[in-house]
Amino acid sequence: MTLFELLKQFKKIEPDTAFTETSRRAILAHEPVAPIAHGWSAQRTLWKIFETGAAVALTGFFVLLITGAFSGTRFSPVQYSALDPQSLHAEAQAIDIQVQLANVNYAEAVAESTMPTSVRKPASAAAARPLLTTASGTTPNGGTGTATGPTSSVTSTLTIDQALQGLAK
Amino acid sequence: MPLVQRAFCLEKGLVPPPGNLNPPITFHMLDGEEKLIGDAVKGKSSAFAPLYDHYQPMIYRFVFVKVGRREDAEDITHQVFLSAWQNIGNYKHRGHPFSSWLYQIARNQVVDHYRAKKSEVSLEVMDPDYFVAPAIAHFDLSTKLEMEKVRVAIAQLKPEYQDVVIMRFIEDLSLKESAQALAKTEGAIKLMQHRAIKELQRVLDEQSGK
Repeated sequence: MTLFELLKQFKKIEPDTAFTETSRRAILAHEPVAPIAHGWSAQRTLWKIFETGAAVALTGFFVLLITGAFSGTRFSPVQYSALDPQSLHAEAQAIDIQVQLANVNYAEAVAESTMPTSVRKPASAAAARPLLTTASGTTPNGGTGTATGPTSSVTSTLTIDQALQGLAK
Repeated sequence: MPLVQRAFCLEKGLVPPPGNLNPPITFHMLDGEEKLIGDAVKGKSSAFAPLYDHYQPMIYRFVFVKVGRREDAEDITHQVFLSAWQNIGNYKHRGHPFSSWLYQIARNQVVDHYRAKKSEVSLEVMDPDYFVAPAIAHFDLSTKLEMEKVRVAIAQLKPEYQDVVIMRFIEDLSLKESAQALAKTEGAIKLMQHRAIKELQRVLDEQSGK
């Protein structure tokens, strides 16, 4: 018997008649579970429209509620005093002044400790003048403020801390 | 008959059926089926009863070839029709035969069956009389054994190949009906049936130790 003939034999398989009867009776004794919907119904259509409308309205309400709450608290413009340009500018100005004053004091202390008594005052004044006039530390004759004053051996004896202490006094 | 199929049959020593290998186009619909379905959708059990009588043997065979055990086939078939009847309100006729809906339910039920219950006994060591329905009990033992071999071989195919073999060569569904039931094109069904038969022959050859 060929494969195709054998396959055809399968069509002769039939379920047991007793099973068929029992199953049939049991199935037909049940009621369909799924709601049976036939045709168009005005009531059903109106109800669906109402359902959809209610869903959209409720969603919109919640969206407005949520975005409103956020915009009231989180997204309103906030002023930070630390970011105020005027206060930042004032702070920057104050820092420049302190630096210049510290340099003046340092230069005066160095001049007093290294120069002879007879020339001490004019020298310190001459050393301090360029530092007071320019913020970058360059003198009008092209040299740096510190280069005109102390020698290297003296610089090692006076630290910036000491100069600051002197300024504080 | 397509040349490829004829060549395949000759190569395998199969006797091709006379004429076309493709079964004749037969529609397995009941007379007045659409009206019956419409009434059944409205909840009339008297309309569902003829549908049950007409399609139950087909679904039973489909399930039986896949699961192999008569009791399981009966249980699953019962579940298929119970599910169909309980959910008939959701059925929408879209031009497909009613049987394709039932086949779809049956396929899902078989998958659920295998998921829930792994095979406990080797099918090949059991008595063939256990498998073969009483309706073909009059067949001689050698035929029953051969049928069981083929059934076991079919069960080893991919599920979609099983479906194609059952629909095209056991139930004689047309290409169109099979395509609708399996949600594929007719061309795809042709290709699948060719591959399925080739694969089935290979499995049978392996079984017989060729």
